[in-house]
Amino acid sequence: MHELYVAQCILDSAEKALPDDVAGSSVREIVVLVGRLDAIVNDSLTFLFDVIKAERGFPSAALRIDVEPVSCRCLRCTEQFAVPDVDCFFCPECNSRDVKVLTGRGIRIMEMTVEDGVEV
Amino acid sequence: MRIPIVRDVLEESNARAQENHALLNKFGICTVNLMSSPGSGKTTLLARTISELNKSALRCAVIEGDITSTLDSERLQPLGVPVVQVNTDPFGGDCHVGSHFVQGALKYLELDKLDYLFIENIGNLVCPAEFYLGEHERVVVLSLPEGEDKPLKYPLMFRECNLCLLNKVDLAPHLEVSAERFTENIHKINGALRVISISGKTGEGFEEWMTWLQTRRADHLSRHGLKAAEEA
Ligand SMILES: Nc1nc2c(ncn2[C@@H]2O[C@H](COP(=O)(O)OP(=O)(O)OP(=O)(O)O)[C@@H](O)[C@H]2O)c(=O)[nH]1
Ligand SMILES: [Mg+2]
Ligand SMILES: [Zn+2]
Repeated sequence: MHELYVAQCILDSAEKALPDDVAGSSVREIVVLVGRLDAIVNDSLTFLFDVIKAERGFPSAALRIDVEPVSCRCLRCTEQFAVPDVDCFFCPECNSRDVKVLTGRGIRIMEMTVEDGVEV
Repeated sequence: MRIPIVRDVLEESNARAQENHALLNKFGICTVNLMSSPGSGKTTLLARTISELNKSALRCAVIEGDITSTLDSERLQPLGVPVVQVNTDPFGGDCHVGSHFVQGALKYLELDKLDYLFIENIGNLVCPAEFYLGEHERVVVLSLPEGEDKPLKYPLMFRECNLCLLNKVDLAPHLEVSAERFTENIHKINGALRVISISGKTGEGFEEWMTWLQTRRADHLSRHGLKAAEEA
């Protein structure tokens, strides 16, 4: 539902991250890492990204979305554990519910691929 | 060639939220972001909450987020407190209130005359959870008729909030749900989340909610060394 806004943020962020001497039009791929907890619908994000990318200066960029699984650390016994179904945040070791999310939250650009021959 | 970067795409949005936060701290305004599905009772609770706080001479204002209408703002008019309406429709981000909307809305408020600011977010259990606005407290309203599986289906919201108001408890006798099962599911997602059973209709639970609000405010004031001195 907020995929349009996220698509805009990705393109704004890509723009800022691009080295001065590289044109947006030479970017072929933008790789983002999306936390599983963020509940982004990948198909909608890709679709909306494609709709707005040209007007935002990245006409030939494809979006690749990698999903980061959720993991936590127990604040009582320091055990680290995965939360595959994102529906139960308990420490499997000591049953504590006092846990901190380590991964699987947030949306980050990780990498951009630029057309070969463009010097950076 | 590949250019590695690691950049939070919400950096800009968070930077504005931080600016809002600093401004709210400067004026000692305890700010509460109220989130829920459509119709869980945010406006109803807000109206009652504000009249209660006004009785204790605590001054409130509201930022009303809605996609297009001004209906909720109109419902709050009789309270006589400042209400700033933000309509998110023209910006394509129509599922949540963004930090830039709050920044804009703060310009319309007399900040030196406020103790509490409430932000009624857009009715939606997914998107608003993602976006920090600069608030001090994030409160999710969940109502009994929505069903006890909601925390499991929308975990981010329940991870991100520090209070859950379990609303419409007056309807319990008519429903096949139990407040206990709601709480169990909420705690599967976030064991630290405090749950207050409440009714915007009968006023049940309001004492506990008012105490929570006042405790949180006192806590923020002492932490930021604001106004506390002035009030002492
Ligand atoms: N029985 C009962 N009804 C309630 C309670 N709280 C709210 N309602 C009713 O629920 C309906 C929706 O309440 P609102 O306060 O408009 O809900 P909201 O969350 O502000 O809705 P949106 O802003 O549209 O997302 C209204 O008809 C209210 O009268 C309650 O505690 N008990
Ligand atoms: Mg409302
Ligand atoms: Zn543990």
